[in-house]
Amino acid sequence: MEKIQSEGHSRQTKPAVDLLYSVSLRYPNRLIPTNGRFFGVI
Amino acid sequence: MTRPKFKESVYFTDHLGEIRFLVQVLNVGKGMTDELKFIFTHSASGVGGVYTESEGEWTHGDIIRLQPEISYHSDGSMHIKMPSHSERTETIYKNPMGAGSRRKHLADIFLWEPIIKYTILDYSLCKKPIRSTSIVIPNHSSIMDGTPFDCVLFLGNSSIPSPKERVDLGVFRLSGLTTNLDLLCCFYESDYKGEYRRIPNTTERVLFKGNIIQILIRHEDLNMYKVP
Repeated sequence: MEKIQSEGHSRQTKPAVDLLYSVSLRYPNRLIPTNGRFFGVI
Repeated sequence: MTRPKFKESVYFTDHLGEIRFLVQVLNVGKGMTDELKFIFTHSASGVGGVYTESEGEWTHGDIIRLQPEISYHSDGSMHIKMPSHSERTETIYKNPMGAGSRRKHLADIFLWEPIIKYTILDYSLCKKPIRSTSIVIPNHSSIMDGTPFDCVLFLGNSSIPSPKERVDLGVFRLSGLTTNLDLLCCFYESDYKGEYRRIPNTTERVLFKGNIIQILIRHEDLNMYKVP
């Protein structure tokens, strides 16, 4: 389980780097915003 | 049309003081049911979206739509929706976890649940007219400095503390998406500089330097879903 440390009555916790540890980018699905001019030809 | 239970457009302030569109968040559920939508483009501002599953190339299977959206439903289903605005096309739904797969039910989310990663390279694509009631995130000078950055969206119970903001971490919390859920936006510097992608039916590659939206999941939940 993810460890989240409370700081007293504060709504803040230790650095969110911890949150990133829990993240996985597993899926190939991508959504790409475009105005049709996002290519830069080599 | 019924008024959404929640509807907010969130903007960020870039290094030049320009206010740029980040995401529109809606809860379009009815009664006790919650249905969340996340929209990252604004077609009237000239920005649509391409859906792709391929790496290193554009394909004929890529789907172009005026205003794609990502939805997270009460039953745990999460879809990328490409709505049709033409008689020649149809609305297409993609479930990144695989057809029929479900994530946590919205009501079961407690700790911060990663859902979406939005990588922004091209700030100019973040366009939507702002209103006086819009939410504007102040500039984080070491992250929104004109270079690429990631915005990672988490859902979590309203009782869960937010992370502490740092030089290398921007934090913004949007409260009240549902009775119990808040949205956490965490901003990080990104080392993504774009990528080369091949054009269909050619050997020519082009340098793609646009923004990318991807679905996230917890490491510990990977075994719960089939990987397409």
